Amino acid sequence: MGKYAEYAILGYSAMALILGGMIAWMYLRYRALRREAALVEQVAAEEAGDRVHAAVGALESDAQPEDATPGVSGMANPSTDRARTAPRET
Amino acid sequence: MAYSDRRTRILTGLTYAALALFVVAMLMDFFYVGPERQQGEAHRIFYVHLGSFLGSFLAFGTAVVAGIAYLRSRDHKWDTLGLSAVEIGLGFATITIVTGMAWARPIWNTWWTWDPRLTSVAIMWLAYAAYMMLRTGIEDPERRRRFAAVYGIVAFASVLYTVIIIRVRPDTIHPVVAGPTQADPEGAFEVSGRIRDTLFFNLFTFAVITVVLVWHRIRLENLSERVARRKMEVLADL
Amino acid sequence: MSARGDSTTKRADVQAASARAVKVRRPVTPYWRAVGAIAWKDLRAEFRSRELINSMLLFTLMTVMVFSLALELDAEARQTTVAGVLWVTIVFAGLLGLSRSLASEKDKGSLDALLLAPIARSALFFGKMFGNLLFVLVIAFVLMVLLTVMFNITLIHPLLILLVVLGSVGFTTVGTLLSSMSVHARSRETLLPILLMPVVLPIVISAVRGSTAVLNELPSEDWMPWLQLLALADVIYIAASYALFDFVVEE
Repeated sequence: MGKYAEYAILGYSAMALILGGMIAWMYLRYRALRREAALVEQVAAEEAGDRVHAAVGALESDAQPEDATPGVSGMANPSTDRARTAPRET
Repeated sequence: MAYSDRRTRILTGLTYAALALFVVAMLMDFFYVGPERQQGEAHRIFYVHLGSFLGSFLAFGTAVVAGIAYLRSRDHKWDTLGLSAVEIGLGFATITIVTGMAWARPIWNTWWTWDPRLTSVAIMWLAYAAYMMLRTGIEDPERRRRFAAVYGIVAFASVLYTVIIIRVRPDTIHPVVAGPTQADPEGAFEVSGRIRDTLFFNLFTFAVITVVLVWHRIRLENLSERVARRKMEVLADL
Repeated sequence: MSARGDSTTKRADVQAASARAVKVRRPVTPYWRAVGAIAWKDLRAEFRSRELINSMLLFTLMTVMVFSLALELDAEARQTTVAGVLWVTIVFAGLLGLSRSLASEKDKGSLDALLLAPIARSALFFGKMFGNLLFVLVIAFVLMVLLTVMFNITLIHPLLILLVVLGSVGFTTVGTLLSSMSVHARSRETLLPILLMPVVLPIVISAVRGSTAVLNELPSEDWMPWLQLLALADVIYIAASYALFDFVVEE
């Protein structure tokens, strides 16, 4: 090892650490944002699905084949009943 | 976000180029150039020390231009450039200070001294750290961008100070590579031959690395804004 | 419409709108009268309550006491540090004054009224700046008397007074600009020192070095460069603040 080599190593490792830290921090944030974006899109898709169900006035569990009543509307009085909005999650 | 294919290809190419340049620069720093007569291996720090200072200088200079451009056009892409440039610049300024300290300990026998050059770099670092604090402190986005642009311009005075101070106070013990030769530098050496080649290569490498990092940081910021906006849209509809 | 066309029309719109805004705000009151009126308003408000000047003076007295007691200086050390004590105290007391001056304006809502008034924005800036400058100068002179007494070193020296004035001008100029920004932040009391310190440090350094040289009766080549640096910094900061203040207070 040359003269003052330990200081050279100290300096270069510090440089590598800080530079690497900057890059790593940006990359981790990028990954986290990608994940968050996917989550947001998932929520958006679910919520769009919910709205479709609400307009129809049924939940998937309601629309089972054995419960079908062809020819008879599910609403008691079609002229006054309104379609249900999706139930709010509490 | 629709980034043009061509731009993304340029960025990718530049990123690989920066990586390759960095590897070559490190090899040059350790193998092409030999240990200096008096300073031994510690002298090698000089290359990354100057390289990182150039990086921070370029970045902070970009931030001033971005600040002025934002105040004139109010297009918030200039603010994104300013923010990215200051963040990256601050990182490089940190590297400059830390590598400087690693060099100073064996050569000057102290980690730090309130020499004019060191003081001015410390002031520059504090000014831009304050810029980041200002951004977190203002809530209204439009006002935040405006104030950040103004402060980015004011803070650049500290960068100019680092250059002016050696004209006014030439009695710095910090070696000066480009500028008036001064009374009693400690640790100066002749910049010629292999030393000069390695220096210029390192400077070029760090300039390219700065550009690449700032560019990536801009894209990261754009992504962050897009996600936040989408989140608000989705939550509003809920 | 192409994307290019969109951005150019948007820029043209912004420029047209700002040109219209400038035309609407033609100042009515002569410039220096406006400046004087604002400074005088601040001073009169202060005379009535004397709240700010009292707290700044008391703060100054306590700071000098802390320095005297904590540093345990002998005669020689006092000679070398008195300039530093002087300027540190001016900076901290000045910070108090700066943050209070604009904070009370904003909280009372009078800041908006001032911005609507038919005066040039820069006149508002200089009016505020002169008010702040006067407070800082009062503190500085009280401090010089106080330190003459407590440190037993004569601070009443014409060159030192010049340095104090130059330093205070630079300090209050940038301080007024930055305090008009920090007043909008959530933690305005902590943000102003953070923003102001790095920017004002070159002024403080020049002022301290110059003051030490003057007090130790050194030849003029020892203090002249600091004096020149201070004057240069003042010019730069006044020009920059004049140019940038508009952008800070536009609404």
